[in-house]
Amino acid sequence: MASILVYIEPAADAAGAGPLPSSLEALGEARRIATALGAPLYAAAPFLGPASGETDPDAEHKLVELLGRCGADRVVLMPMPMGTGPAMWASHGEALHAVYERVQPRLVLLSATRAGCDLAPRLAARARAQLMAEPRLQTDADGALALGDLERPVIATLRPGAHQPARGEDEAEVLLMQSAPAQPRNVEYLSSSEDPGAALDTARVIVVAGAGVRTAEGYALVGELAAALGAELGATHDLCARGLAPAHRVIDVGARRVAPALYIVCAASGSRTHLDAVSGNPDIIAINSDPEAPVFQVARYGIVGPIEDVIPALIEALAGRLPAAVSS
Amino acid sequence: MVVLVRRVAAEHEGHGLLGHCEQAALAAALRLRDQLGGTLTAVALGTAGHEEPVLQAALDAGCDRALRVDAPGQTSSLRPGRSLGYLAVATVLSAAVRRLGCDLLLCGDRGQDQGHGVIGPAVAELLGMPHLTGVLDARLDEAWIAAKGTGELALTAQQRSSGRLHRFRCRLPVVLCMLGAAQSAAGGALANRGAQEPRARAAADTARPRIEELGLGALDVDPGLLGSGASEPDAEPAQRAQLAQRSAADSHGSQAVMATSPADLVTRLVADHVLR
Repeated sequence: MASILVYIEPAADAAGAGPLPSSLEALGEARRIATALGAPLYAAAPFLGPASGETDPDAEHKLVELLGRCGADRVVLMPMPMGTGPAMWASHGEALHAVYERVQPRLVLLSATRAGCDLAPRLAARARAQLMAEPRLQTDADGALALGDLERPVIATLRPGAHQPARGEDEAEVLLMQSAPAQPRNVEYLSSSEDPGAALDTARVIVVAGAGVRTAEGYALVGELAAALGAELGATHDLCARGLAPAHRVIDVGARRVAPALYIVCAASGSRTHLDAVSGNPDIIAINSDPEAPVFQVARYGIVGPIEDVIPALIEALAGRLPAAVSS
Repeated sequence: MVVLVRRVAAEHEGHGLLGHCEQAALAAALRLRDQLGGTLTAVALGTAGHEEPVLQAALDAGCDRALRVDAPGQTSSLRPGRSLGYLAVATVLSAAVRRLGCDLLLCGDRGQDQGHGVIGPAVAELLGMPHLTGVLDARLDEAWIAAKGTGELALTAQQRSSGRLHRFRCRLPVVLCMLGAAQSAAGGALANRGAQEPRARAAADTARPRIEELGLGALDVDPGLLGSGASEPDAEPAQRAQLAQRSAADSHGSQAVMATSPADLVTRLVADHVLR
């Protein structure tokens, strides 16, 4: 019987860290498919502990219990030391591959986080598997999974926020892997620090300044709108390249992806490299002096005019009102 | 050293022929080559008409060599978007890199068009080299190199992941997948200037490096992997939600509701419960 495997990314590099919510979403999607196919569902869960390798039995039990309630039939615990930095191939890859070899799944799901996007292609290449980004996983009338070449396993990444965790009362069987195989030392974790733009990753409301902002004063004006709305401030790549905005605020396919509920675009044309980095189908408000700007084709609301005129009047008209998304 | 380059899809060329991540990779590669010494080769996969402008730009930016792996008639199978296309692309690229010999490979973290970010890790796997994605910056770790005193080389790399910035020491050989960043603008401008303002070449200018070409036949690649692409079904029937391609049903109508004034906009937003 073909099985399904889900990688459960730890929420933090700390002893007994629980799972990342988006991994539980992937597990929920896997549960739906596993039920339709009658396939066993495995969750591969790194379990972080001290360098000695000893684990906290209570924390271990809680993790297995949670994953069982969220849909896993079997939980494969991968004990590994904390302090190896963020989850990625260099720290978790060999252990995940060992689980893959043991379980021999036909379908592997990971959340499309930095870790998932680091692990999935390398695991797929090693396994000579198909690799898919955010596919729609449908089962047909006969209960078969409608995927590509069924001769090869499929490894797929799922967009965070696009699926729902499962909620049940089932218990999962535990399989304990041996301690993780030694990772190559070529990539050695040293330290971590705050990402000054991290708030953009989870912001519900974002105001972004685009290439049409020509001056530092213009950028500051967009910042005032963000402050008035309780929003995070972002910028397109062009603006940062001109030195008007710091690099950590870039929202771009090649820099940072965001998933707000409300996205206010100021003086940006709406290029693909910018808007492709915005997911979740937010309400978009576009402010642009060019009535033909492509951004008006994707925005829900628009207003034509230079930001120097529109933004001060908009702030005054807001009169302290805040987006509904700020509190939701 | 090798840097992988790829021309962006036509609809993204307003920002230059290279994506932001490839620009960052090229800029970092040039800087590291100047620090480390050695030879930097830009490598691209595709037809002459499509890829030679970016390879020429890489040479104009300062790369020592440029290599195009020719794949005529196979382009349709070599799109990473196909479920096995990534493996075909990575197989060909890794074979070319192996032939060149390389202990530091840089590439963009993700393409400007599809943005899947799969080629770097897949190439690293096929080369048997460690890799690091999401790299914002990579510098020579001179203190470690001096302390080690063995001639072994290492870089410190800064990675953005999980809402934090992480520092790593990366001993060579390693594959680094670079995020696009504003500091790459200099490299990007340099790279794309070459593509946009082609220099006239003197017929007798034999010292200028030329773009080398390598056919698939010269690489030890399983032809079956490449040949399967033409008949392979497109295994990505559902595209990621891309705002520029949203259907009318998703985008609340095909065009924005245009407000006549900021006050009018606020009134509409309150009425639609976007504002409290």
